[in-house]
Amino acid sequence: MQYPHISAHSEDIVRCIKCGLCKSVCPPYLETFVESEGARGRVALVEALQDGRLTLSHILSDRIFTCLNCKACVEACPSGCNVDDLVLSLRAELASRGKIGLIKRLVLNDIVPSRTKLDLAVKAGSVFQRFPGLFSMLGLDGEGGFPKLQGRSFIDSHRPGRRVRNPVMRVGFFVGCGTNFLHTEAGEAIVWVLERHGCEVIVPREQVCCGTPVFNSGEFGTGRKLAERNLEVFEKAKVDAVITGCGSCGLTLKKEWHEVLGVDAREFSNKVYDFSEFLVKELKLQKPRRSFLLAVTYHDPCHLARGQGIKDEPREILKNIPGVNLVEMRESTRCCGGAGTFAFTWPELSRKIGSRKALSIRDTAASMVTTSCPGCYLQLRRVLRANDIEMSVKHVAELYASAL
Amino acid sequence: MLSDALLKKLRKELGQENVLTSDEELVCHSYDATLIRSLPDAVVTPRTAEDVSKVLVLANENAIPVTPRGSGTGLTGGSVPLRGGIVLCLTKMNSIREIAPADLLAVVEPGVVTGELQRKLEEEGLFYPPDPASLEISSIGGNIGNSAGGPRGFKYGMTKDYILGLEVVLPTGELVKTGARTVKCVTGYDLARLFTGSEGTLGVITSAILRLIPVPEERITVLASFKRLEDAASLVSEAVSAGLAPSALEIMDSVTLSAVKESSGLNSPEGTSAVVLSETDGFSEVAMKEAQKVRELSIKNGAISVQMEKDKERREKLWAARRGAFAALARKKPTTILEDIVVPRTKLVEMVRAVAEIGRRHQLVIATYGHAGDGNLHPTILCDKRDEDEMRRAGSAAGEIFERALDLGGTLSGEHGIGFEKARFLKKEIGEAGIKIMKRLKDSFDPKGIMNPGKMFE
Ligand SMILES: Cc1cc2nc3c(=O)[nH]c(=O)nc-3n(C[C@H](O)[C@H](O)[C@H](O)COP(=O)(O)OP(=O)(O)OC[C@H]3O[C@@H](n4cnc5c(N)ncnc54)[C@H](O)[C@@H]3O)c2cc1C
Ligand code: SF4
Ligand code: SF4
Repeated sequence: MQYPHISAHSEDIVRCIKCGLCKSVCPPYLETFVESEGARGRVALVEALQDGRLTLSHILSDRIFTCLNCKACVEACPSGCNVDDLVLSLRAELASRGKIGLIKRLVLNDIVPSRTKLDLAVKAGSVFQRFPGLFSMLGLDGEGGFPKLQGRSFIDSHRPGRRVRNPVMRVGFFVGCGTNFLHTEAGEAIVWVLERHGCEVIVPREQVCCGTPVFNSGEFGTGRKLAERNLEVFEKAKVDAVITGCGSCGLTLKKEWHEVLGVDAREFSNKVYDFSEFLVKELKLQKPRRSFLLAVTYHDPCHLARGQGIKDEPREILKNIPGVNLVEMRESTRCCGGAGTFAFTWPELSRKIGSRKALSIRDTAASMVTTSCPGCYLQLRRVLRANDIEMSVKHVAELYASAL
Repeated sequence: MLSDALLKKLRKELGQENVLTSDEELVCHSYDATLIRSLPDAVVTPRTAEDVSKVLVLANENAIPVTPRGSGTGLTGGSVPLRGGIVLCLTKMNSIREIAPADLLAVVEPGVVTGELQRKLEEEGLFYPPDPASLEISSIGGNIGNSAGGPRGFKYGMTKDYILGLEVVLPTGELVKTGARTVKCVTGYDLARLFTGSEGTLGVITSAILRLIPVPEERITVLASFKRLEDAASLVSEAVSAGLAPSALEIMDSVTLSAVKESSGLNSPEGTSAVVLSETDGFSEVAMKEAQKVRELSIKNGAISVQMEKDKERREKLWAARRGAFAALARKKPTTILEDIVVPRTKLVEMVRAVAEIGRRHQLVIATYGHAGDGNLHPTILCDKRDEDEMRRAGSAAGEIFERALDLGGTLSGEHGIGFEKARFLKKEIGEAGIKIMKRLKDSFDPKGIMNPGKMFE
């Protein structure tokens, strides 16, 4: 059988010399110690599929979906094998042959891409949430694990802010689904901070999902449509820069539309910044008026730290807040196990990976953990709670905003 | 090969999740870090020594091959199930049972990852020196199976020097305990030493008592860059004859350097064609004095730059670059054939020259790096498995490299073992009588020959 998506990356298969070093950082492997759940095993599976020793089976699909796309293997691989691309290419093969569950397909291809349908679904979701039994019937994690959906999305409730006189820049805010539906406070904080730094902030109402959950599940076609729709919307908004507060949205807008989906978005991508990157590099950090007496730790989102190479900027913002003492945790760049939909599709594995994170957070003895991604935010809350660790979780923007 | 009845029995004894037979799992246990591939019929993941014993009894009764496997990072095909049968994967037996600082020992299960153990021990001020470049993922069981070594071998020796005792399950299912929790022990044959480096051909190690030493107060890494490989090699021999005892004395040639530079950030000046990476350790004054000496000797031997690092993170970066050398070379060409020869230190320069000459003659790029302090080199042939002619030339070159090492009074394998890759060369080194006695030993442990067949002997 021909596998065009995989063939496009066959050089990565050849590159892998099976040294196994990637397993030492692969979170699912480190919880299970089963080769097929590790990075090297996944490369071997893709290779075996390509040369006809395996078929697109259920087991193969499972093994390829327990990858968090955390990219730790890519960073660890000395021979430069892009395991992440191989994993995505196999997912694309599965998707193009309709081998991904019907419900998931419907959600990814029909509901997520449409703003109105997604809004409706989420609203329905917040009603369902009062009926946990229904959720466990749907196969979702019943024990309070499902994130609390907020009744009104950020975009719905956002009113254009104060007029900024003589703005230094006109910026667009790419909200992203996590911030829009699940962590609206972070969105408000980001907009407020940007305005305080003299930016005119535009929040285009027609923007849609960046596509991460969609093409990470192999649905490249739908991913492309989303990219094109967003490009159109932001083109119209005529902004100097596009800001996001989500590591994954940022990575997708900056690189993956172009590199994974083949959408020509380079000109747009050059204007995209993560919130902290924009603040530190393009604006001048203001000295906040308020001060706290607070030990804070910081969790690096995979797609921000490894995906975009942004580790220092969020820390700089934190250190700039008077009285904040930044305490580093063990392995701050290790995945928290949230990985978008992973927390719901593989709840047990996700919880195990998250618990390791929770313990490194606990051991800092800080009283707050901050991060730069709504997905991590949700997962950190879940796993801290699950481990009986009382600690507040905030987006860096939230803490900074409350000090300004 | 495994009957349904047998699989059913295994599943009942060990639990469903510990007996894997799907094609996907089999594929994932058909390789190590060589090009050798062979599918098992089943993968079994025991959790206790009793599990191991049950599996071996069943396998022995039914004459089914059993290949022990740790993390599968071996460089000789050691954990590849050449004759099918069962891959006994020990990664789930990974608890550190005891750390005893006062007795300077640790008791661990075979699946414990070397680097992970070392970090835990350092927290307690303890040090387990063996440091194969694969330490971030290799298992203690696999290290013992191959008696792995690494850069620190120069001062501290290799795995076999740190085994106080072992618990081993024999093919008959018996559990043997050898060695003791004491540094001294001469009660009977030294079986622990025999099992160390036995490559899974005699029995399955289910627990090990490791000898530890206190963490040295200071470590200083010195990176010296040279214009000529010969200068680097002569620094190594001079340092050794001057009585210096750095904990590591590593060499890398220009091909290796160019690959390592791409993936790491190890910086050496323009025009460098070889580096010596060394580390001194011990009490602060001693480590510093020794590092200064290495520096002086480097300059005397024509070093164009010498970098000294005390900072843990920066030292770690340099060593990570060295550890990544093998895989980084894979960036240059898709197939890498890695050798593991050792020659007497005085023959180091000669061997390095010979490798270069062999490479030229066969029109191959061969990178040379390794534990120069021990005379242990890893000439690595860069080729492409899709190119038949090149692979043939690589094969002859590898043969000539071995011959040359033996001629110089050296040996075939310093630390990677024999496995399948080097089985056909073994007789050349140890002779007919050597092979005979080794085979007799094997027969007495494993009369039916179920343990890792096809390895070590042709
Ligand atoms: C990038 C890279 C760098 C390397 N650098 C070095 C180096 O510097 N020095 C060095 O010495 N080696 C090195 N190696 C080789 C390899 O990592 C070592 O030999 C290591 O000890 C293998 O450990 P493992 O857990 O992967 O064992 P495996 O490869 O799984 O097994 C190795 C052998 O031990 C046997 N075995 C495993 N577990 C047991 C057990 N519990 N009981 C009995 N037998 C068992 C197996 O049957 C096999 O024969 C390197 C490998 C790679 C890929
Ligand atoms: S680290 Fe790279 S080369 Fe090594 S096994 Fe993993 S993907 Fe392959
Ligand atoms: S991306 Fe993360 S989870 Fe996926 S194979 Fe790599 S290390 Fe493992």
